[in-house]
This record gives sequence, structure tokens and C-alpha cells, in this order.
Amino acid sequence: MLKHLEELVKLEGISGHETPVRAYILAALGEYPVEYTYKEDPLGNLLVEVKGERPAKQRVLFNAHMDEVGLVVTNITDDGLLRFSTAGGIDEKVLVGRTVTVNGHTGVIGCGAIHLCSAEEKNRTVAKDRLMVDIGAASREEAEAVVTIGDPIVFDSDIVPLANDRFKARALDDRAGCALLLSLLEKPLPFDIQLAFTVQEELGLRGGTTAAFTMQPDISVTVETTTASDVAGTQAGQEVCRMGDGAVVSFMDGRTFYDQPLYKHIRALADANGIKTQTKTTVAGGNDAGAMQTAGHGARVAAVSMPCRYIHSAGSVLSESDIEETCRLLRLLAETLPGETA
Amino acid sequence: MQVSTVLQELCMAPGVGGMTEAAACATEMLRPYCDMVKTDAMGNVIAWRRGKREGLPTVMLEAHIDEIGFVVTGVDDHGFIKVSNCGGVDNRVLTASEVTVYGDRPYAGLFCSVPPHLGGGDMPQVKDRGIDVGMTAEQAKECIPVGAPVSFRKAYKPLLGTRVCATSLDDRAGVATVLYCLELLKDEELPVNVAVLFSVQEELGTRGAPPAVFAIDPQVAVSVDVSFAASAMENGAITAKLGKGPMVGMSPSLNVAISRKMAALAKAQNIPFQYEGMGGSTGTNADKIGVVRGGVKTALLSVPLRYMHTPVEVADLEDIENTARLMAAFVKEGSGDVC
Repeated sequence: MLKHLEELVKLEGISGHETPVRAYILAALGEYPVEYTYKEDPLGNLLVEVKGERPAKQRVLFNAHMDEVGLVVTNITDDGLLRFSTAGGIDEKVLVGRTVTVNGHTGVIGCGAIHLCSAEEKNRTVAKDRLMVDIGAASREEAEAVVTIGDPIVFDSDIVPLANDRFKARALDDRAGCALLLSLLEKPLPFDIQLAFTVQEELGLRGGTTAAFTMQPDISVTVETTTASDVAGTQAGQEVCRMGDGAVVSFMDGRTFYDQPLYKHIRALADANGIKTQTKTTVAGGNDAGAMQTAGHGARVAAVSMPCRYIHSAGSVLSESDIEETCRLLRLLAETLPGETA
Repeated sequence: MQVSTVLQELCMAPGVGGMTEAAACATEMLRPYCDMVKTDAMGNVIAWRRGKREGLPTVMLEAHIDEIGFVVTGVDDHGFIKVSNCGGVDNRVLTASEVTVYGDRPYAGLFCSVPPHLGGGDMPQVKDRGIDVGMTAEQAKECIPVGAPVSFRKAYKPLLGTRVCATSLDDRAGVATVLYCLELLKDEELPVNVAVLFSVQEELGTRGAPPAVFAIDPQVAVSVDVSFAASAMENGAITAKLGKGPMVGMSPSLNVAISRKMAALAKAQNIPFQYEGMGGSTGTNADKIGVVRGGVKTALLSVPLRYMHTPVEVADLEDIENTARLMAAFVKEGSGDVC
């Protein structure tokens, strides 16, 4: 598995609570034989200037977000159950029946016994506002001893290998992107590059907005995971992208109309170097590119993503071969884009 | 014995219809307490502990050892595993839930989840779902035969206090109750013969118990299952609570005298308990046990349980211990009068 990814997906860091992830990445940066300077901005973005063998002809910023989707405690009932709100977009169908972690304590999101449901209720999604987290507290006091309103709640999920080169884990969106940014530092780089490990992407690209303003890149390459809905139950043509078909380079999504010459350049470069890429066949989703493109004086933007099944659930799935293709493509971009004239 | 240790081991052993791992685990746990343990033609586990002399009546303690799950019905063109439910699975919790598929070896997998904006808005029926094990169709057809059982990924996690979250607490909590009852009785001379039945196929329609009860031929039976504890999800329709002790079943299909005896014993021995009033049948093995052969006087004790038939069932270990205490008190002091 990609270096650091195993550790990164163990860290809890919903939007606004990215500190453990940032601390880990900061420590990891020090392991590489590269010169760099960094700063943390007021929102918590980790902004890094990496020295290459020579100055870049244009500033190229590679960015990935540190935060993950999760829940926030909004109230505690007299019975000791936790009401919550979601931080980031989570389909309520993937919440019910899961275990979660809050302040190191296991909690469950259950639902009333199926035996007591009407025929109609049995096949109806349990509305998010009815769900609660049960940490085993028998009273409000018992719950309040370990949980405070506002505390983050994360999915309780480990790494499990599936067949072939696939694996399930939590928070692959976007710790896999963070791990790929770190992988760029494994070998000396020909040119200076910029890295941004951003916060609050899942709340609406908030960290990316301030990061782009501060770093003022000419080109931003957002490194992400993106929905692969090539799964049972999806209508033909709605798959978005396919697991195992390589890195996803987007021409457009729900937040960004990407720089078209850059999009074409990246796909052609990949083809010329035998790197498998695909594009999103559905205009949906969005990532920090949307913020990078319009913040400050604006930038040319691209997004390179790994196809991810069951994204924004406790059990997101990636394929090692897709990670490998994406890793090769990023290396190529980091070695060439900063050397080209803007 | 530690109830938590026993319960954890039981909950981690799979026992979807036809699987024998959970029954094998329970069999080994019974051996230290019993004179004889065997398995019948259906896979029911039957054990005996003889009373202090010959010719005593038999009290049977019963819990079911099977659990809800799925059975493989095929593989689709893209390698996703198609299943049918095996017991009353809660369809609402399946999306993106983790499972184990018992093919030529156990394979980890997840039920597919389709985002709402890509057509995944409605809740699919079980037959329309697929399980992702990461295989191609060719691989899956090779490794996972039709008929292979599938369970929720086995898990056992302590919550605050004495509460635990696990798969298949329904009815491993009952099995643990019977085992702890035997532990409490291990140094006692018993006024009755005790038979233990850990029955199969309860979740398929209380099918497994009757032939085993026929073979055991008890005069009195105490069945222990789980029942509904309030969780704030039932709009006040459920009044039983976690941590407030065994639920003593009061139903027309149960023996009224024994049910009342249970309540009286609990009061006399300061064991917390709560009544569970049911208008018709109980929906448990107790209904079937009562009508085996010429009839068996049957009582039902239930361990309060939240989120029944989901992978995150929640119970309180103290309830299991108190249910076992009440059961032991009945065997020791109450059963003589009613046999």
C-alpha cells in the first residue's frame, strides 16, 4: 500500500477537526530528502513550498484535502442518546446500522426493530433527523461525562483487503490524495513545486479558497478520489468512472469547468507515457479545483482523481492499480508542468 | 466464567442458516457443565445435566443458536454477488454494510451503495442489491457457489458501562444466558434433570426446536430470547428498557403459572425484571415448544435488545446476568412445584 496511507486513514479528522492529520503530514514531510518551507494558514491549511533543482517557470500547486466527512454532536437526550448533524454530504442510507467513534468511544446508529415497522416503513430510508448515536449511556449525565455538544463523530472502519488489488477503508477521500502528494517528495524534483494540504473541503471548498489566495499558483492540480458508481444498482451510463481503468482526469464536474487545453495536455501526456487515464462520464461532484480556479487572481486548474466506490460511507474502496497509475501521472506532471512557460 | 468473554466468542462465530461454527462453539462451552452433549439430525445442540437422583422431571432451557443472514443466489455479469435473505434481515441497514461471504474461503465484501444523484435514491429490495467482493464475474463464479451463506461482518464492541454492541446478540445473548445459568448451578444438587437446547433455524420460522424438544421430552421449558428495548426510535410504543433486567413473558401461549412464578422469584430474590405483555403468540420458539408431543409447560424470558436484526444490536451484560440468575433460581427453587 502507498506509504503513509495506512496511517492516514486511521486518523480522525472531519472538517474543522483536521489537526491530527496535519500533525501527521507535518512530521512525514521531515522524512524526505527535500528542502521545503511551510506555513499553516488561519483556517489550518498546511501550505508547503518545495525546493527542486531549479526555480519553476510557473507556479504549480498540487493540493489534496485533509478533512473527511463525518458527524457532529448537536444535542444529548435525557436517555443519553446523541443527536447529530452531518458535516459534509452523507447519504442517510449509509448511516443506519453503522458503528462510529466519538472521543474514542464506540457508538452505534441503530433503528427501531424491523418487526415493529409497517410494510411501508420496512423499505423506507430512515430519515437522518430521526437517527441518533447510542454510546451505551443510560442517562444524559452518563453521556455528558464523555461527550460535549460539538464533538466530532467519525465512521468506525478499518482497512480490509478485498479480492484482487482492492481494499476497503475509511476516509480514503481524501487521505489517498494526501499520501500521493507526499509521494512526490520521494525523489528529488527538477523544479520547485507547491503543495497544499487543505481543510474544510467537505463543507464547500473553504480551505481551498484561502490556500489558493495565499499560494497564488499559475496552475493547480487537485489530487482527489471521485465517485466510481460502476456497481450493482446503477443505471447503465451513470457509472461516472470505472474502478481499475486508471486515473480520472476531469473535463467538467459540478463545481468546475476545467482548463480545456490543460485537460487535453494531461491526457495526451499520459497516453504518450503509457499511463491509463479515463474521464468522468457524468458531470457531478466537485472538489477544491472549484475554489482554486476563482480564488485570488484565478488559476488554470486540473483534477486527477482515483476512482472510489462507496465514497462518503464507512467503507470506501480503492484499487491499488488505480493508485499506481495516478501516482505515475502526478510524478510526470510535477516533473514537467513547472518547467513549461506560462 | 466471564459473560462478556463467552458472549464475544459466541457472537464472533457465524451461524447463518446451515452454518455450524456457532453451534460448535456453544457445544464446547457446554461440555464442562453437562453429562452429555450431542447434535441431532437438524444440527440442534442438545445437552443434559442429571439431577440428584433417578426419576426426576426434566426442565429444558432453550435458546436459538442461528442468526439472520443471507444466502448466495448468483453472480451478476460484473462480479457482484446476488443474495436472498435468510431470516428477517432489516433491509434499511444494508446499503454499504460490510459482510463476509463464505465461499471456498471467507471473503470480505460490502453491499453496493449508489449515490442518490446517480439513481440510488430509493431503497432497493434485497434481491436487487449486489455485494462487492472485488472479484470479476469469472472469479466470483469460481470461488462463491450458489447457496453459500453470507453473514454481516462479525463484530463485538463494548460501549459505555456494561452495554455491548455486536452482530447476532439475537440470540447469542440467550445462549450466553443459559451458559451462565449452568455456571451458577454447577455446584448445586438439582431437584430436576436439566436439558439444554441450542436450536437451529429459529430465524427461518422457528423450525429447528420442535424435533429436538420431541427427543428431549421435557415437562417444563424455559425459552430465552431477546426482545424489544426502547431506543427512542419507536415513538413510545416500546416500554421495556435496557439494563432493567429480564423481561418475563406474559402471553396466552405461555404457561401462566410459571410466568407468575418467575415474577415472584425475581421479587423474592431482588432480581430486577420487567413484564412483557403479549396479546397473542410470542414470535419465539416458546410458541412451538409448548405444543410438542402432548404439550410442554413453557415460559419465556427475554433479554432486552435495541436495534434487533441489524449488525449493531445493543444489549446490557447485566441483563444477561440477571436473566441467568432468574433462570437458575427457577431451576433450583421453582421448578419442583410446577413439574
